[in-house]
Order: sequence, then C-alpha cells, then structure tokens
Amino acid sequence: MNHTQREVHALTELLETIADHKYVLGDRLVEVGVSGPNIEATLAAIAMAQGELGHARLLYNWCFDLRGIRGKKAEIYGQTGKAFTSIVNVNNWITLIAALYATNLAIDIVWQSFLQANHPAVTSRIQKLIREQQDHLIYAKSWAYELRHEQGAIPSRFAQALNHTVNEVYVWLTEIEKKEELQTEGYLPMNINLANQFKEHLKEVAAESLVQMN
Amino acid sequence: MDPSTILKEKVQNGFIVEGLEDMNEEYLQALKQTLIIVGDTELLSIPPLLTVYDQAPTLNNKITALAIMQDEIGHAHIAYRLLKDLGQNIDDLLYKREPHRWKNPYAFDFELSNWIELGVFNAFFDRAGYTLLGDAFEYTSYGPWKRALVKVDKEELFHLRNGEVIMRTAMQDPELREEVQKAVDWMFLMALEFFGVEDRLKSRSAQLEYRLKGRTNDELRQKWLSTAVPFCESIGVKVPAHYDEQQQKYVLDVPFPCKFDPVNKKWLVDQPDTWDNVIKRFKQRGPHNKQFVERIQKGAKELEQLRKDAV
Amino acid sequence: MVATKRKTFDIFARIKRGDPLTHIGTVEAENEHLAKVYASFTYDEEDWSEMTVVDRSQIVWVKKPNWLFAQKEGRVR
Repeated sequence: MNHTQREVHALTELLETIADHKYVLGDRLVEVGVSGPNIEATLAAIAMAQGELGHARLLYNWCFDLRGIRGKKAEIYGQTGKAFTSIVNVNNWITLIAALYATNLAIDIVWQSFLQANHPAVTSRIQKLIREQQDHLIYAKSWAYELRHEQGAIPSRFAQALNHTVNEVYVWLTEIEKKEELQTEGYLPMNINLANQFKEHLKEVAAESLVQMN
Repeated sequence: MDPSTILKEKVQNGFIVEGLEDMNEEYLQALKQTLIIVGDTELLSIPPLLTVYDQAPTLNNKITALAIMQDEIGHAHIAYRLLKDLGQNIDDLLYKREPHRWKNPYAFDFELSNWIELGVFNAFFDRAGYTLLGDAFEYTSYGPWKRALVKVDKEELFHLRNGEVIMRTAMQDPELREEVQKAVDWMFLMALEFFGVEDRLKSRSAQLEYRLKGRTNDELRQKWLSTAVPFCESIGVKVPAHYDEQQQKYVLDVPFPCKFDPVNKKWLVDQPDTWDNVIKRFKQRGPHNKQFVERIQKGAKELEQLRKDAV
Repeated sequence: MVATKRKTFDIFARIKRGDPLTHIGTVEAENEHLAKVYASFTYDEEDWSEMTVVDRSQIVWVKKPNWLFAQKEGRVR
C-alpha cells in the first residue's frame, strides 16, 4: 500500500468499526429495548435504534466511497465483525444501558477529536452524526446514573456489565491512539489521548474506577 | 334530573368533558375501558411485528418498520397517560397484569409468518385502528383525548399507506402474489372482528350515549370495508366481500362470524358461528398472548427482582 | 415497585413562528434531562420550532373550569 492508501485504509477501518458498533447497538436497542422498564424508555430505545441504524448505513456507504466503489451501494444485512462483543452479547436492560453508554461515549470522543483536526474530507460528514447522537448520550448517561444508584443487586450488576464494555472500549481507544497514519494524515490531532478522556467522562456516572489500567 | 341524564344530554349537544369533576361514575368507567383497550391494542401490536422485523428486505424497510413501532408505542403512551390522570395506576396496569387480562385484539396474539404479513398487518389492522380512532377524534366528548388524537390520526394514515405499498409491490412479483393472498385470507376477517358485535345484538352502548364514539360497530365496519375492499380489488387480491348496489353497502361473501382454526390460521367458512362463541374464542386468547405480554413486562420484572436481591 | 420516583412533565410546543404555544402531552421521567429526551423522541410528529418541558408540580393553576358536578370525596386528580 502506498502512503495515502495506508492512511485511507486506517480511516476506513475506523469508520467501519464505528458502523459495526452502531449496527449491532441498533439491533439490541430493538430486541432488548422493547422490554424496557417503562413506556418512555422503551419508546426512546426504538427511536434511538432508528438513529443508530441510520448512522451505521451512512458510515458503511462512506466506507464504500473511500474504497472507490461507485454506483448503487450494496444492501446492509449485518456487521462486518468488528463490533464490541459486549454489544453483541447485550441480553437485558442493564447490559443494554452499559453498552449504550460506554460505546456512545467512546464514539463521541472519537468524533470530537475528528472535529478538532478538522480534515476537509471528514468534518462535513460527521457533524450531523454528532448532533443526532447527543440525545442518545444524554439518555444513556441518565440511565447509567440511575442504575448506579438503584437498589439491591442492580448497582453491582450494572458495574459488572459496564466493566465488560469499558475494557473493550479502553483497548479500542488505545489502538486508535497508536494508529500514527490517522494523525500524520491529519484525520486526528497529534498526540491525542482518547483513553484518558474516556476515563475522565466516566466520573460523571461515578464509574471511573471500572477502567483497568495496564 | 339525575347526573347520567344531565351529562348525556350535554355531551350530545357538544359539551366537552375536561376533568373528573365533569363526569359521573358511568362515564368514567366507559372512558377508562375505552382507553385501556386503545393502550393495550397499540402496545401489543409491537411483539407480532417484531416476529418478522428481521426479515425486512432492506435496511430502509427495517427503519420504516421501526418508525411505525415507535408511533404505536407513542399512541399507547397517550392512552396510558390519560388513564394516569384519571387515577389509574399505570405501573400495575402494565407490569403486573396477567397476559390474559390485556385487552388487545385476538389478531395480535399471533406470530407473523413473513414480511408480507407485516404489510397486510399495516394495511388491514392499522386501517381498523385509523377507522376507530378517527371516529373518536371526530366525536369524542373527552377533551384531553380529542386533543391527543391529532398526532394519532396523522400517524395511523402513514402506517396503513406503508402496508399498501408493501402489498402492491408484492402483488407485482409473481413469486410473492401467493403469499399476499394467503395473508389476506386469514387477516381480512380478523380485521372485521376488531369492530365488535353486530349492532342488532347490542342492547345499549354507554360509549355512544356519552359520545366516546360517534358511529356504531357496523357503521365503522362499513367504513373500513369502503377503503379496504377497493384497495384489494385494485391490486388483484381476492377478498370475501363486495359492494352490493341494491343494499347500498358492503356485504360479506362468507358467513360472519364463522369458526376459526388458530393452529392453521384458517377460517372455516362452512361453519357459521355466533358472536357469543367469538367472544369465548377471544377469552381463550391466541397462541402467543403470554409470550408477547411477557416480552413487554420483562425489563420491569427483571429490575424488580434485582431490587429484592442482596448486593 | 419502582426505585426513583418519576415526575410528570407537561410539554408545550409551537409548530412554527406565529402559532400558539400548545400543550401537546406529558412524559414521566426521573429528572429533567430524561424528560427533555423523552419529550423529543415521543412527540416527533411535527418539526417543532419550539418545545418546552415543565415539571407539573411547578404549574400554578389560576383558574379551573366550572365543573359540571361537585367534586366527590376521595377522587384522585
């Protein structure tokens, strides 16, 4: 691969990973979200599922463009295999909120970093995604906070679920930081520290202690 | 004059009820019953739709199906929040009620077999919803519900149009025409049952007297037929009904009610039945009533159990 | 049965400039952040120019309708 091809490949891999997270999250928001603990939360889950699936489609199509595939885009029937296991394994409300919160937070941190770098090929494509994701983040953060402060076994179960996703997120963000091509090409700012930003944000739901330091 | 007579006269003359203190007990009970049926119908439409959601031909179709489901939950939410303002405990109603006590139509206790059936579900059952709720929107004497139905009316029309698009498109595909016909064969008469017993068998209707609805069961059934039959004829699907010029109304070509085989999802048109037996069939519930209600209640029940568990 | 007590929020919205600000519905939520998000997702039938959520306990009634019947004992409002 030549110089530019390597950079574009790194960008495509990153975008496709985010698309995978969103595609599976969208699916889980439907299958598990329909069993939400109250009507408002259930309705919101179905609404957000549309958003996540729509974003996944936009990102997959962007990847087709980056790979030089012109004309009618292929139909999307599933993820490409890069989604967090903890999202794939979401099977109840607690694991859903844990995955929704940690994943959306991580993706938002990545998008904000892209915005900071302000690469012309990227900025205009992600502004709508960032704007539309904000309500998902508020929802997820509120629910994460509620579950952390609930009764009985709920807080510990939530901490356990969050732990799983947080660990996968931390590894992923660290890998992105190490992809020099993304920084040298100007897609991301130099010397970014995504993992630490993520850890700081976890304080909002009193969960920063869940991140395991290597 | 007794309160019942006063209130009936006033609502028939256009009086709008705005609160509990405008109602007598009979009005309140009729209103609550109506809203519970509406809420349950909207909410329990989701589990059957989800049985074929994964079979959506494209991601666009999937997202459209989700938009429809979101609307249905929104409509259920309207009915339940109005019930809350009338003093009903909604948490108990939604998360502690046993499956057989939910008031959704019998038709919603069945899994769908394929994406085509989702289209027919929208085209027929949402059309029934549109007819019933449109009537409420036009006539209801209960102010808070009348205002809330603006949103519902707008959205149900979109749902039934989505169903029509799915059916019309499928009828253009020789491999799918048979699926459409099979779906219509069991879902057409199901939709007619949404409108309840024939008028001649009803002694009185609190709903009509208190203007919670404006048209009778048969009139609403006719209204449904007046758009469903022409649509089906326009796309080449056979239905057991036609317009009778002499009687100036739609008539059925099979006995109605007639017996239904829930295992094979088949109407036994050679076996006429009574409305009493139909009500008995409704009370026995369809095959997936328990599973569908449990799906709705799952999250709330899991959290409730975890609250009681030790840390 | 539920842990955090949920509050009722009334929602007021305006479709376009010049229209009245109308009561369009309610949501229940643990806090105003969730109330805002719930209102936004639930009432998406219009492209509203404005929307606001108000904690119902903060609403002060100036006038209520002349009720048809006197308020009975024990009625929940």
